[in-house]
Amino acid sequence: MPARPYQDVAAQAALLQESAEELYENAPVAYLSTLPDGTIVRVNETFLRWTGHARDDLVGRKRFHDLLPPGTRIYYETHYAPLLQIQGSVREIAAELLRADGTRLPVLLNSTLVRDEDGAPQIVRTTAFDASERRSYERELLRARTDAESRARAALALTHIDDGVLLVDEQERIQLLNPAAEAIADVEASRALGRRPAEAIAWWDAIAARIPVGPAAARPAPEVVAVSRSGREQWLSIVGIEAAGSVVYTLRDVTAEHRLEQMRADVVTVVSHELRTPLTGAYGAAATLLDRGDELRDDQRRQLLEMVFAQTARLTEIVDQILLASRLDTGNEVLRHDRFDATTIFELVLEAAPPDERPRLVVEAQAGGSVRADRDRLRQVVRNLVDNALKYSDGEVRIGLERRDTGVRYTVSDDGPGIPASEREQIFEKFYRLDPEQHGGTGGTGLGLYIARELVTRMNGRIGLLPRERGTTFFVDLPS
Amino acid sequence: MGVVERNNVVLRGPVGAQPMLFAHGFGCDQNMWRYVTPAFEDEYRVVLFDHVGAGGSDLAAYDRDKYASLDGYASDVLDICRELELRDVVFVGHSVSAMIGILAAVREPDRFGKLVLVGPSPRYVDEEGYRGGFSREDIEGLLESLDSNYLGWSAQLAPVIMGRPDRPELGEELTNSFCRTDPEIARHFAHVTFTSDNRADLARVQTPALVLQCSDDVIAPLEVGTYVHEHLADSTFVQLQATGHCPNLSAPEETVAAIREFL
Repeated sequence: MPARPYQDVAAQAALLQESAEELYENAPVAYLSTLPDGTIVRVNETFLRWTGHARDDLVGRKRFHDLLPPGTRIYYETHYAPLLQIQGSVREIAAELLRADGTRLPVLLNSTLVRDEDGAPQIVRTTAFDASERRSYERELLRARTDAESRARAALALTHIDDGVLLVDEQERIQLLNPAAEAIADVEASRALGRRPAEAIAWWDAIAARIPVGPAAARPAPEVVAVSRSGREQWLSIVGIEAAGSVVYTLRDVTAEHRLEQMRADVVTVVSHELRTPLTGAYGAAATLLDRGDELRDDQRRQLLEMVFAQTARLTEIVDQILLASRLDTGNEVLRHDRFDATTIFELVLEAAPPDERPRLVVEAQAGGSVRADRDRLRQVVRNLVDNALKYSDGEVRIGLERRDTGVRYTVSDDGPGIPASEREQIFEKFYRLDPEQHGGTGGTGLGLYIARELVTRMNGRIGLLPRERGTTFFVDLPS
Repeated sequence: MGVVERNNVVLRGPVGAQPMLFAHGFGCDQNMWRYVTPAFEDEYRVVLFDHVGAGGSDLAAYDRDKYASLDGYASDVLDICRELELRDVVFVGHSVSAMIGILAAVREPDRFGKLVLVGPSPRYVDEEGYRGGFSREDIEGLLESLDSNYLGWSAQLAPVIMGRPDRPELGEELTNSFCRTDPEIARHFAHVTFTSDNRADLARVQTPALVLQCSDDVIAPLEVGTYVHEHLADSTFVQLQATGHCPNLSAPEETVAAIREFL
């Protein structure tokens, strides 16, 4: 295509009546000239059209900063004006201009400072571009950034919170699973996301119907449920809150709290039952002595006194056990670590056994050797095992001792009904007692084996059960 | 890093002469004294510096806790005095730095001979029984202005929006190359400056002070300047013809003359 002759362009411009004046007044940009103190001396038509101000209200009457909202005014005084005076120009300052009706026009300002021959500031020329659209984009971007930051903070909190959080969407798919929930539900997020809770979490189906679910406003109360996790019982507090079509489940592992609660209930049982039996006995015997002592024969009185003595001794023993258990819990029990002949424990245990039970005890020491332990506490442990064996069985109770690689092993065996495999760990827990109905249990404080295990552990040893077809064998391993 | 590097300290004028320590206000750096200091460089040891976060200071030294109040900045002023062993200092502080100077002079009165306070304000926000000139909403507006301008200033939006614009090479391209500050720091400094309240400190100043008040200063209006003058034990009040908040830039001769007269 041949180039259009220059003359044509000039002719067209003339046709459009373009002139410097016309260009100034109606340029697609607002022009504003001010004195160095900000007094407005000239504005173009575009400026007036955009801002709605009348020329006469501005020229000679207003200063530039009068057209700025307070926030921008501070910025103008602290940034814009100093910069202009230092470097003679400023570029692309985002600002807002107050329109005549009080609304704000977002603009980008460029200014040039004109100086006279001596360098004294004469006039400031400012152009303002309408930046309404640009500003709304920028606001959106800023908001997006703020949102992203707050989302990142929420994610951080969710990652480190102790409570499990599980989000299930409208299609019943898991959309979010925090690390605590992974641990509680025993499933990795990568395997759970996108799947139904019942598919991803082994125990979900068993408890799903019991989970309270409702809107936040209804404040559904969490339900405590027992679930089985890798064969062990785990107690969970769980609740679901409906939000935007999804359900946010909060899961908290309350197994420890549940145990504590159970323990509290057990303490009440022990105190009410175990203390009450000897108390009743001692009280009754003492009351009889008081009321009818004169009428009784000497041997009858002595029998009653012996009962008072035996029952109060039993009370003392129970209270001592409770106190010792408490000292062990708080770490206040200090043990000795003496080295002595391991067989000496047998004499002590035999001496302490009730005279009528002694014939049932058989000592099977295969070898001697030294043991490193607290003698009194070790005697207490073995005696407790012997007492249990005597109590739970009718036949002989064998006490053994053998040398091991790095120490000695005591064993206490009986041929009684034995301990069910499912309870072999639990019997060492505080207040745990075998069911008297099913396993021939006889009650007691439920502290004996707990104390035994705590003491043996503190003597750097180990206590446990040896597997047997019938009957029970406890072992206690201790270092030499 | 030493105090001199941290605060980008620049020394001019005869060694051993009485020191004049110039402290810039919010929004700029030591460049704002460029038309004023030459007048004093013959007679005084002129000390210029940038507050941490502004100009050529060490941005890595910026500690949000330390600079959560003007006290942190006052500590830096005293650090500079100690480092350079300045005595009988003429402290010239513009805007917020007037208050920073007051805090420093209260803490170590012996260091300072005279205070020149250019456009001082002990409290920018209006309160019952006090007119500082601004409402809390106005301060929010300023913070918004700062936000939108750091957007406008950078040629590329993405690095600002997606993270901090910690690309120094970007700064080189900026047209508005004086008085640069890190946007996050500027925002924090603005917040600290415009929410500070140092009215109670005025009465504790013993040092003779000059209050330089501009005409029609929207940042520090006449009644605020008068308030400062009335609450200082020993002060001279001079109202300049100059308008705006930066007479050191818009009317350097008049500013220099007023300071000379006072000294």
